Amino acid sequence: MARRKRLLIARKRTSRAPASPIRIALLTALGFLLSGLVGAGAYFLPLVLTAAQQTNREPAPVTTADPPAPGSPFTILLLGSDNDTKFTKDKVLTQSMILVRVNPGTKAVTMLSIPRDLWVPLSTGHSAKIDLAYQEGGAKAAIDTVSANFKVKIDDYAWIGLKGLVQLIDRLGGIDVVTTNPVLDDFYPADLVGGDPYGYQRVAVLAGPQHLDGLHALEYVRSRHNDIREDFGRSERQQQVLLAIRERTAGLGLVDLPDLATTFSGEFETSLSLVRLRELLPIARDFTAAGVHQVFLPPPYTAGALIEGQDALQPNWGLILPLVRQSFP
Amino acid sequence: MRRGPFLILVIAMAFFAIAVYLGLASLRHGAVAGAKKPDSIRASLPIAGTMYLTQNGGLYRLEGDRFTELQPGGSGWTQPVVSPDHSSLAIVKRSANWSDIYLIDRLGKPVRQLTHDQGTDVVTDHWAFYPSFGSDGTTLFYNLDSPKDGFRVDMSIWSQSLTAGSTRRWTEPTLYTGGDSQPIQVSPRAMIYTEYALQADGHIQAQIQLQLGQFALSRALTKPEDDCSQPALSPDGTRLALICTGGGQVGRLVVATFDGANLGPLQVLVDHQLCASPAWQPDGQALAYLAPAGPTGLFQLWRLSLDSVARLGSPPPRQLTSSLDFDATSRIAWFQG
Repeated sequence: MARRKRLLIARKRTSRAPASPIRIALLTALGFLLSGLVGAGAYFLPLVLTAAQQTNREPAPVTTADPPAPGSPFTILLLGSDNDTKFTKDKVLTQSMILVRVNPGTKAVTMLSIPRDLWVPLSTGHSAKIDLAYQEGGAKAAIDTVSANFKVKIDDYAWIGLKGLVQLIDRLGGIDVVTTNPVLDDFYPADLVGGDPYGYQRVAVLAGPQHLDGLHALEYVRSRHNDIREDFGRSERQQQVLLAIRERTAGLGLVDLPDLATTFSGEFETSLSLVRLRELLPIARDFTAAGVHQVFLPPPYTAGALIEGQDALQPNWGLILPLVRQSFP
Repeated sequence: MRRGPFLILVIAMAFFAIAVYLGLASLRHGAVAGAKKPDSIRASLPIAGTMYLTQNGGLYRLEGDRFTELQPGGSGWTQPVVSPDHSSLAIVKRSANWSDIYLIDRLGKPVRQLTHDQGTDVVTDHWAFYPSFGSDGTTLFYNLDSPKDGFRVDMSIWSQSLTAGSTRRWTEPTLYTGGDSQPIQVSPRAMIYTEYALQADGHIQAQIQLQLGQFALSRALTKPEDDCSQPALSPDGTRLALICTGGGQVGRLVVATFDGANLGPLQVLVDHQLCASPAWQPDGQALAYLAPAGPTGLFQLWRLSLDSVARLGSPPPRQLTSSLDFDATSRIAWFQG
């Protein structure tokens, strides 16, 4: 009896229809697809983690009712800070504020450097130098202050710290720039290499075409003591380096983002979403130097003044606003 | 399914996942190799004579197509220039907060320290750059950030007698611009140099100046808008090679005739490249310069035959290296010997 049962089971097993080859092939393909996704997921994991922390940050573009449609012009406020150990995180001044208008249709970029000493009403409720807005109210206050004073709709912002800039440039393998004149500074902060945030070091970035690593590029854009044009000279250098970075990032694609994301490690914040950042990469590729319009606000747009005991710049809005309207409609 | 083939499939899928990861990593744009040491490669073409170049603070000699390391990288050496009798070189050794000029022999061994710019702090430290020998070899011209005061640090042109050791200042720089740089004595009484000054349009631009005597009024040889610097005098003294940027992020290689007092029209030899640090072949028939090449953006050595410029109009320059990282703010010393 038992033998008969075993025989019946064996017959049933052998009589079960063999798995169809198509089914096997489909299952195998699905397996490879899943394993490929696992590989890609592992590769992009740092990007996802960093993106969760550093992109899509609040404030979401509060001044924008509708986000710009793909392919339409948009405006980003770029912020740079001396975030060395002298300062508490998120309580830093913005040493650099650049409004950037990108028009993918005409392949035109306008960069307006806002002097850090510009005396304006802040969104936080009093008047002061514009670089204080970020310290008092973070990116939201910086955006609202710039937006209200310059009458510009800002779609997004991006903030970068000192080490973030150095690491970005190093990650790109350095940048090629023509430094316009010898940049010499005997009182350059020794906060990044010296370990003493209150110490000084000497800087000598020689003039002419050259390849700069992150540290030397930072010296070039940060030095401010020996420039006859004071902060305007520094703004010009910042825009040069920004364009050189764009030149180097022009060839970047989606696969480069994880590396860049790990590079920043808390030194970069933006309201841009990851999807938007990915969309911007090919746009950067399309621009040439000829399509870049650089705007500064030296006299007569601004005038030096002593306000509340501080060396500041008094804006001449009668001249500034028409200029801004031309470039930031 | 039997266990054996199933296991093989699982292993294959695991390898596939790893391959996808590595494949994506290999597509990274920034995954470019770093620079090689010059003595680990050969130039693509041999050069006439001997050339001295610097990379990352190391000093290298190029003879034929072979590089030889004379001072290792990271030593701070830059801006070598050969003496008129070709027996020695003057060169800058750069430290963190100061730099000094040394005489070295042709094998790169320091013979004599010519400046002593290390002070006790950032206020008393000094920078010395761009040495060049006077025509008789007994005087050294260079730029030095002295005098300086507080935040004001600008270079002036200085000279030093190599026999007596005495020093003299030649120029009064435009303040807060970086000052005067890259001096070359063109006759016993005349010197040219690059002056950085604020122009009417609000930009700081470079001009080649001719000066006859200490603190004499200088005369501009180039227009401010050309933004020319890095002068290199041809071996016969009749032509100047320059780098002109036009105030932009370009570095055009230009030449012009020079009679000791006046500069002829600027002839652009190389455009659309970030050219730097031109140097004349000892017979004056070619120019070497540094410019970026390839995805790294690092500066490589290039050579342009002027003979073919005359014949062909605008021949392509020849790239002599492809994987190095020459210091683009350093002069190239090139001589017969």
